[in-house]
Amino acid sequence: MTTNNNHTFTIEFDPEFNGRKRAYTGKILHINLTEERFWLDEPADSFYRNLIGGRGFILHYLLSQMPARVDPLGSENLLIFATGLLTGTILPGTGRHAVGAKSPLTGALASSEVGGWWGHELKRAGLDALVIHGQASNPVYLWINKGVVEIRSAQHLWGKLTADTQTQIRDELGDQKIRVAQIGPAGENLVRYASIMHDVNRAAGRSGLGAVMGSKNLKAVAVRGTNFVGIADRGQLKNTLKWITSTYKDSMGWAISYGTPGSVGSNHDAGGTAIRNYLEGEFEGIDELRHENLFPKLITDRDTCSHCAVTCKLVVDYEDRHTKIKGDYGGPEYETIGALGPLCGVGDAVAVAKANELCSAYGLDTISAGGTIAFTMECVEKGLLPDFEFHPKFGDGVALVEAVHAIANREGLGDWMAEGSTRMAARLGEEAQEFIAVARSQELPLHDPRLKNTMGMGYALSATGADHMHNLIDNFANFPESDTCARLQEMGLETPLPLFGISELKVQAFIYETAFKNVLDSSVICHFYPYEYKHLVEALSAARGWTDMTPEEINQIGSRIVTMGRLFLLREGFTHADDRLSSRTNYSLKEGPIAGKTLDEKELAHGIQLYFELMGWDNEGVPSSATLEGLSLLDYAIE
Amino acid sequence: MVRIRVKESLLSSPLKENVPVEKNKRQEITIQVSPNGTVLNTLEHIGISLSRPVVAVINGQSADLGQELKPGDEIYLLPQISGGEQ
Repeated sequence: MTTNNNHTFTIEFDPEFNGRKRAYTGKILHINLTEERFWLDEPADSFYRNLIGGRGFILHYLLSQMPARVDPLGSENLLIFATGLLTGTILPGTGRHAVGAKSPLTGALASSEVGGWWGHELKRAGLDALVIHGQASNPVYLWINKGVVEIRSAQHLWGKLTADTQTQIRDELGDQKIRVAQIGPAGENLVRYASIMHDVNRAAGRSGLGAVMGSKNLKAVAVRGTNFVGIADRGQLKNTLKWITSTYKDSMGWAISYGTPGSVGSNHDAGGTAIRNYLEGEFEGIDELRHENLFPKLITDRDTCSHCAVTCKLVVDYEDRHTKIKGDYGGPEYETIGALGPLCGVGDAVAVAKANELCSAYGLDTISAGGTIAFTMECVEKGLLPDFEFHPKFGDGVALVEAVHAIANREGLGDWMAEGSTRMAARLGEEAQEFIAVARSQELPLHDPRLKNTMGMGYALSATGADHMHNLIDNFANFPESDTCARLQEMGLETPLPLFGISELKVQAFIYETAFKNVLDSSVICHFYPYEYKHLVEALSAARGWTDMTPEEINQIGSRIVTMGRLFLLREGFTHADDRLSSRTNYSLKEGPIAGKTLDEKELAHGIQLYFELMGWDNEGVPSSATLEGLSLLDYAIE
Repeated sequence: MVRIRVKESLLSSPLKENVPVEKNKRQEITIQVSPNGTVLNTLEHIGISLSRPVVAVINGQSADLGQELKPGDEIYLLPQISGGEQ
């Protein structure tokens, strides 16, 4: 069988799913691109209840079907697209899915959630998840159309930017409603922090999933589905829907008004956004990037995800004498503005928006791109890169845009930068090691651990490297009316908790929050909706009619997924010595709102040991047999 | 006397009638109050209810919402979110 034969596979739909009696299809498709072979998993109900979907499924397949310590860019790595239990239902905030693999940036877990419409469409096409094995010999793309799956040549698409690829796939397949997940040139060029773009303007951004897809010669996965995703207990789900529709205008008012960029100015003013590679406490260019200036200057429209009325996504359609920014690529979010703006010392909003557009067009993670560019700018400032013609400097918006081109195309200095700041520092020597701001080689998100100490502990512990998503947000735990405090109270913790430090109560709160958010990332539900345990139990149990589900079970599922992440780290060769942050978080600022504050190393070490103890792991972070048994994880135990 | 600065859009309830308020073009209000325990206690005392999590910056430094206030303090309440990429 050859690619040119456009080999196809047909999925028989399960009558129970077609009869709308449950929210999962019961089908997980495996495709081996080397052998052009397809097969289906049809897991039992317990699989869905134990792991829910998303990250839970990703870890299951990585632990059970991928050998240990494989090359992340080799044929043995798996690339998994997984919907959640609630993906595709009518519930707002569920237009999401997760993508996972072994990360070429960190060597650890890559698991990134993405909004939009693609996951919704995959389930409507008949699949809960897609597991890609092997490597195609030539560029291909997958076409999943209402239960029929086809491998097609992508030779003519290789090298194209993401918007062009999406247009061409829709045109050649004759359906403008097709949803496309794809890599751009950055993924093809194996940039270690390349993203997988969905609908062109949404990224499974972190940890280099785009490079894994590129290594498999897989340009895109195009999906079209028409099935209706049902629910076991429609009346019960309507209760959750009623809670959302009656409260979201208040609880999500911030997102309705300005989306995440509404927080750029206030995060800066509170010391939460790192400036000039963590070296400064106040940014003189911040006013240009505040939403008060950003919106009238650049934002022309809004966008949203499946079944969500919030429209938190922004659209930048802009043209002046020097710069054109295409609205197809959406607009920058908070993390992106922080990483490409203040972190690089760039206060030019047009340059930041242009760099964001290019990251979407090439398929690059904006956080790691910004972190690596800021690191490079510091190296240039300190004279560590004399042999290159390209010398990006802090504050230079033109150089910022040029750097994105250079990274994606691996040109000159960009070839070094495409490896990420950790590998680049290793090439440059000891002095450069002081300039990196990473955990497990992944650049930190824009939540400065010098302000948010427990978030910093989460960066050090996460199986995905520095990650702000499944984490405790210190300032939310400090605010009595937050959804974080509401959830912690449901678990019996007294709130609010102190803003600073990693107290014993905050470690306990961290455990609850990471478990809860791992279930959100498996469901897969948007974190912006203020779910409490009672809402999540109501929604998840309605999906399949699991009437005896409890908040404690949500906690146990979350702990199971967190522990599977730990098992994956240990299996891939990580040890407790790797549960750390690079030294940049100890850099003490002389001015600004977090002047003199650092993440105390002793407090961090104490917090991590307490975390291990409370999780039932030994003092090296190895889960005990009793813990594994209690979480039904003995099948995944490592030798 | 302490001075609290908060964006009007952050308020989820009207202020008590007897609270003196100054407004500016950035939809911020400035309220002068007497010291009364912590930031949270003071907000409660003057009837401020916030619609979103905030970080308090007191005299230019990020601070715990449970920090005790002293005369002359200037407090800036900054709304926070988490997440959002690309």
